[in-house]
Amino acid sequence: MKRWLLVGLLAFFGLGLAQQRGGSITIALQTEPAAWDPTQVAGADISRVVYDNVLQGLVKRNPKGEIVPSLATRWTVSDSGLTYTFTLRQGVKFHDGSDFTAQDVLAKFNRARNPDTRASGHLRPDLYRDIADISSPNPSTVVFRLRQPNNDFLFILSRPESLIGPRQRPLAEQRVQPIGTGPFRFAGWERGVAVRLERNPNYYLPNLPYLDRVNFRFLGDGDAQLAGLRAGDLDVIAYSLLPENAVVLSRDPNFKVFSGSGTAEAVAGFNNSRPPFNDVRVRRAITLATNKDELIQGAMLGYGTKIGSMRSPGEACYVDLSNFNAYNPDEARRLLAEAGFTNQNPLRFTFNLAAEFPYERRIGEAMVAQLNRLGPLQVTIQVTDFNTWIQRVFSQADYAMTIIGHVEANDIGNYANPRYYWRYNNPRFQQLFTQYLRAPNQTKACEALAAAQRLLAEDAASVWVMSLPALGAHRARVQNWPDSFLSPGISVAEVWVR
Amino acid sequence: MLSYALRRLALALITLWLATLLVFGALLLIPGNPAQAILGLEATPEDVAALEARLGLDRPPLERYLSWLGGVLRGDLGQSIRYEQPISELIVARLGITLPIVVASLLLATFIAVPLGILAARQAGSLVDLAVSLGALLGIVLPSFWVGLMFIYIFIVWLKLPLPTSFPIGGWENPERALAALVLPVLTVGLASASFLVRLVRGSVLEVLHQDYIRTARAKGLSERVVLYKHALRNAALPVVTVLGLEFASLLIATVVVETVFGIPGLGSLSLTAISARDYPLVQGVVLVIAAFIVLMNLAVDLLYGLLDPRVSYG
Repeated sequence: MKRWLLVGLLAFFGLGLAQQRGGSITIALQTEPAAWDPTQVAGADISRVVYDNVLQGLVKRNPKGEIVPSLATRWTVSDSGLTYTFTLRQGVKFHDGSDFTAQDVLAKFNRARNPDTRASGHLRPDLYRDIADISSPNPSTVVFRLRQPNNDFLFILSRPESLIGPRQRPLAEQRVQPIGTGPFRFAGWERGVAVRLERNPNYYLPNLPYLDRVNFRFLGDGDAQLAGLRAGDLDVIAYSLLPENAVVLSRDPNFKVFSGSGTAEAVAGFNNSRPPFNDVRVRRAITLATNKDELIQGAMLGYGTKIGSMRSPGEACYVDLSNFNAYNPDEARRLLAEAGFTNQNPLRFTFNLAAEFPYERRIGEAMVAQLNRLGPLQVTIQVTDFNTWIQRVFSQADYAMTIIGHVEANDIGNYANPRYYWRYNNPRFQQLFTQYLRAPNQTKACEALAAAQRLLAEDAASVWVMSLPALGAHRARVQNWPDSFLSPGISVAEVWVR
Repeated sequence: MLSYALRRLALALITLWLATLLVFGALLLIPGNPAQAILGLEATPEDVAALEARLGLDRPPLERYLSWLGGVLRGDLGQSIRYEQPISELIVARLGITLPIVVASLLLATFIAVPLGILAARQAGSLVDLAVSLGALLGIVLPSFWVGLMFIYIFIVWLKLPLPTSFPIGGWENPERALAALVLPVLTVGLASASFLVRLVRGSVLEVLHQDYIRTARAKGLSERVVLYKHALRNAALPVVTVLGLEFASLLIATVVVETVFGIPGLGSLSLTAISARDYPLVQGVVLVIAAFIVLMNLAVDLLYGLLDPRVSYG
């Protein structure tokens, strides 16, 4: 009798707490990407919409940043680190009704590793260079054989570029209407307005997703987003909520502000290849002259996490270097004097800002004000549009100093590429990064990555100002919004509305 | 009159061609690369080169311009680089939102500005005149992005009027909602435009009222009503009509600010996207269409002159 009572009570409360199915929400998105297939076009906003909502890969990164099963239910790695064997989920269908099979996986990764990107239309074949061979010994198994161990291999398979579509799907169609296996199907794209997702009725996980429809509405203006949220036209501002708006909304019971550490580092980058920033004393002086606490408090109203190297606190193998080269104006002046720059003969340079990014722009402007306060520095700001920034700073490295958010997770490897726009060329770092990639186990890998983070900080290769906050807000009726932000996607499968 | 119109049209075509040439040259001069803009920061130079090849951006500029021009002469504005859609379709869809805003705003502006301008001119120096001038000044100096946001807060957040804060998803599929979404933008643009027009109407009427023929009309005992409506307004209308025509064309682009605030996918925001994406053919297409509107409006204004002012004749 007692047992039945317990069961009854559990059932009662269980039902009381049960997630409601149905309904729709509208989420604000800051920019409108040029296409929606992350294998063909890169961009954080593409992943935010399609990753694990529409398109899925063998594995995925969950909101906590952990690599977990997706289209593969489990996998094993050989002791040599050279063979990865994935067991595929059975009975999965693409949104067009066709079956997801091992052949789709083979076709996808053979396309991905084809070095001729013009033929494959696939971005970043360099990521898949270590794949020697892919095979499918039986319909539920896929085996990757690598040329050499690669500690990032599972991470690479969790990247947006590794999402899988039907092998027959023409690329041009996949760009504008991606077909995948996710909980939502891509229902439509109204250029300049929104993307519409609808429930996938054949989704393989029972009872998911909860919502019938999810709209992603493109609204570039932060104040327009706020107005839309307050008026009820928007349910969620998923990211890039302006700090001052967050403060206002957090006082209102109709809204819930969420914030946390994501994977975006605000990197104030130097051109390491040119005077004056090819001199480590000058780079260190700029780092020491930067008061990160003040920037977080003043420019971001306390939102943001102080860091000291190219990694955010939520990421694996993170080393806390936030107080390394901490604010010390006297030491900064001393180092600058040593390099020949004084109040009488100040170091003059231009600091490039891209207009489109509200966080980086305000952080950059405040940072320049701090540098100019020091004495021996005379920094001028140059604001351009993002496309000009990409051309001058990113492609041609025709700049002295700049700031931009690097959203991608685990992107410290960019410092191992001397052609990258920081033009940081340190063989010791490149060696450490290779050690990390080829390490025989996770412990050794993390040791190498920790050393790499420290080396970057000692070298003051950039000023890592802060890990930018994942800052947003939703209406109170929205339930179960993810509270971690380490996935490339805004996964809404388990979100529901009251 | 017909031959005049034809000559003007021929001139207009040359103007349009020069406009596209100018824009193309300007776009070549500003830095930026559409393929890199599409691919973002994670793409490698090889990825960018592959996309450039797919989009035909690896061809020399002159060749690209000539093939674009050839397309235009055949009535084909080409494909947008960013959207990979026919440009004519994009522009028509956007005009379907921006044109109603512009026409309604101009109507609203005219209905407000003409009576108020006349009133202020007739009572020049009075308190009414002062109030109108002050209001107009306010309408001019307040930036429309701020006014638009204030309207959203006043009418939607506080007064809870059932208006959307942005253009609805699904657009004209839901005509009531779409129209409702245009109310505040029209109010914002219309009031700004009215503020500008009212000063013009006032000035124009005031100037005419000081003309000799008005004094004569009054001297021969005509009622003030007849003097105003039969003699003064017709002449005062000439400069106003000219400006209205130009205002129409400039609003096509000037709505960009309001379109941003109200999340409206109009021609202004399309041109903004096109420029920031360095979508050369799309920029060209938008410029061509807007230039065509300007030229046509100028022509219409000139022809209207003939109707308003019998002294003007087209030989």
